[in-house]
Amino acid sequence: MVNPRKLYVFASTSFRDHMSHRLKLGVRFCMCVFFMFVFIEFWQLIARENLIDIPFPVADICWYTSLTQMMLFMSPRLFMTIEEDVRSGDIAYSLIRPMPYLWMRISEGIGNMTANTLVYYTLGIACVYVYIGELPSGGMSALITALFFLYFGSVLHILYQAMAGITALWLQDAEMAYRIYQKILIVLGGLYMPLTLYPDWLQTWAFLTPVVAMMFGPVQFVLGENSPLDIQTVVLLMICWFGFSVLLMGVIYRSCVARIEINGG
Amino acid sequence: MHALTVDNLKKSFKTKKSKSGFSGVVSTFFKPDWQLAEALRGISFDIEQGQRVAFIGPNGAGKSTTIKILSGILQPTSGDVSVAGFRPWAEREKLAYKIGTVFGQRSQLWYHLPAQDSFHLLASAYDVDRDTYKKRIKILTESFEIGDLLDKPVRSMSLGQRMRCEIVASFIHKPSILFLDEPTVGLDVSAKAVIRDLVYESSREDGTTVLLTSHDTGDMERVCDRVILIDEGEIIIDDKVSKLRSNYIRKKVVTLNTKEENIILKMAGVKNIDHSPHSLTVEVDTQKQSVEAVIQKAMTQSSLHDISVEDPPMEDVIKAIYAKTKKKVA
Amino acid sequence: MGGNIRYAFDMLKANMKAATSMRGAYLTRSIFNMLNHTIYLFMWVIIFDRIPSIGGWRVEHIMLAYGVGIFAWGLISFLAYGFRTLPRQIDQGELDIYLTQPKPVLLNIALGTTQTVGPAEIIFGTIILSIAGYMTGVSFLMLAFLAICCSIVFASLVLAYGSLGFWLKDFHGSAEEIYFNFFIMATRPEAVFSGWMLVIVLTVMPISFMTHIPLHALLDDSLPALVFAVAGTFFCAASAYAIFSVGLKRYESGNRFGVRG
Repeated sequence: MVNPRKLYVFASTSFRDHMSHRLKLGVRFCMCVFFMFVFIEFWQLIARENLIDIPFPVADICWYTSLTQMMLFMSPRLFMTIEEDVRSGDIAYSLIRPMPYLWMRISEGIGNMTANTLVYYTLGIACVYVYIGELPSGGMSALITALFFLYFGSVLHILYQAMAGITALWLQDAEMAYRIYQKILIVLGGLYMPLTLYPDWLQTWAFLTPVVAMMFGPVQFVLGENSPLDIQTVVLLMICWFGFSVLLMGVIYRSCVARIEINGG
Repeated sequence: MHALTVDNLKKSFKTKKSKSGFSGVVSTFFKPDWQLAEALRGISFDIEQGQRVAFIGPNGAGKSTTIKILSGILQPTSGDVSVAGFRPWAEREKLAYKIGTVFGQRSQLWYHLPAQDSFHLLASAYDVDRDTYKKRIKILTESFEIGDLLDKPVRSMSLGQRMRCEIVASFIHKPSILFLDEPTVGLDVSAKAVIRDLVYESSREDGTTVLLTSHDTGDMERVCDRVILIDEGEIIIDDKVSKLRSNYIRKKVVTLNTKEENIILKMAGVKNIDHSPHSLTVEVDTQKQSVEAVIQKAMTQSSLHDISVEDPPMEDVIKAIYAKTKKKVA
Repeated sequence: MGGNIRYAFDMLKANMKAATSMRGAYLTRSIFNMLNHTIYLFMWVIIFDRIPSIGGWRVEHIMLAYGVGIFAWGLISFLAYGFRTLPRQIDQGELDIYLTQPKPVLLNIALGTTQTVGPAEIIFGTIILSIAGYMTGVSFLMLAFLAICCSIVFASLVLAYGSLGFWLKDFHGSAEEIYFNFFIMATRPEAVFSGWMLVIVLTVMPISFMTHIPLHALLDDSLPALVFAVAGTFFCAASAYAIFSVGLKRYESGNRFGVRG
């Protein structure tokens, strides 16, 4: 079993490292804010021109898409770090450490993400609030609930990035697997609009994938009265998908280690 | 004629100082603490055409910084440099045709392609015409013995093979000055020897000026005739390699094979290093004691089957010099 | 100049050779990529199923924008993949070698690394463009010209933002994120960008010159829009080159790395 203290040390080191790169953090943050505003404009345009009958207040859907976009920017691109380790062969040396390689990278990813979270959850939320001009209809509590669960959704996202990264052992390149995963996250996670606006069959599909617990599950709380899932359901959804994902990662990791040993790095 | 001259060269860098602890992280986040680090503190030297010079020193001494300024990669903070008549950072493209560079830890070869393709590409980069290229590559292939490597993808070469190809790559346009930054790093003993001999031979034949940096004193002894020793951005020693021993270390290692099983040499300036039946090795400080006196004293105790007098290894010489300068600074 | 062109041509040849030496990987990548693009396009089909038109844009307009984007991305991967990896090349000090060679540094950066997926994306982009072009009934010659302009703008954006790596350590991941989002934003309906946002997409993030303005010229047969699009292309290229040059000066100053021995 992984020692949680070790995980904490890796995460906090990465947190400190990331905080020391403030210019990089700032550039990324500014980009994210701009892209969130584009999302808001998009839905405000649709509401202004009455293009479709949106079954929620427009402010809610603006909050929704801002947070989904924020989630994509909050986590580091961990798959690239892992791909780099695979390419350089460093991964073979990491295996002899008394700490499972993937968990080491994942805790670093979480540390990095936590540094981002500090900035995005304060300044980022403030920017969105100023731009939209009002809180979501569920009020502050709905927003806080969404942000709370979104943090864990992002952790789940990091697990899948790690899995995408490890595919570099088979495909020489992690980007292919990541891009496919990313598109599934965008479409079935509900980046552009809440899943409730999707055709029924597609909603069913979405609930059969872990991405629903990363994006739509947490963020839908900002829809207030219109949020289709209650807290218990989201908690259950998260526990199930976390459990499944950790098991899946274990399987992938073990076969990857076997592969390295066979190839001799 | 001077191949290159360096006059009072200085280089400093701005670096961020990081603090530990959460409060340190937060305070650095809002107000970073910048520091000025001096990599070169005003060095001057010049090198004659055809001379082979080793640039040695401990980590962070300023070796790579100097070689990067001389090859046009970095701009100095102050001071003047002339390489093949050009100011490197201002006339980089013109200079490029005159110099060749090998960075031990970076490759100029294409990883997935046979070495030959990279050579061809470099010939194109240096505007070497087809016929000249063909002649040149023929000579280099023979002298570097890379005939069987030409069609081999670089990714499947050993480090020693790759390094031979790297050096060929930097020789294609027949540079008059060659900069080698850690050319033997990571190589095994025999690969090191091959690289050293090849660099030495080809520079002697073409009259190429060589400036190499290395941690390995063997590179300096086998390839170079002059050594510049640098530490903390300052030149400590600039001398002929052959004089380094006699000028900076006054010690000899004497091994005596004796008829008697044991002899004892208790003399000022003589230190026992190794002792076994019928054999004794001592280090003699020639300032305090002559080698002759040591041998005479030994002969009073036993007849000698064999005597050998050697210089201490170059590693020790360099170590002694570092220790001396550190003491001076302190 | 002639030497540079010959050199660029030789580099391209070496690139092709390196790419074809990895045929298996090439095929897998291409298939994965097609899948990836199809999923995204599918997203818009769903959106336009609910909303038939956004600010005058229908699904065929999105397809035009998306097709141009993929085409440009493929062309960049093929001819200037090194722009994409610039932050990583800076981090690893790979520019050192280019700086000691007589050919322009930018040319070496652009063509110095291999990416195998480019040609497949160029073909896929062309197919989508042909379908969308047929649906909208636009001039194919004009479409081709504007696709080239778009590629230059996109390459300039990649170069300009990749050059931030001269100042920011370990920026490679973020840079890829930013390129991807530029691509996504450029395929958004034009009407979304108004007011201050329009100012941004015409200046610091000139994604409008990638799709919105060229498509305006194409769909409305508007000469002023065409002139604006071409002028914008020059503006983007010149700015990107300027930013890169300033960054390269910083690289040469060595402050990017500090004392490295």
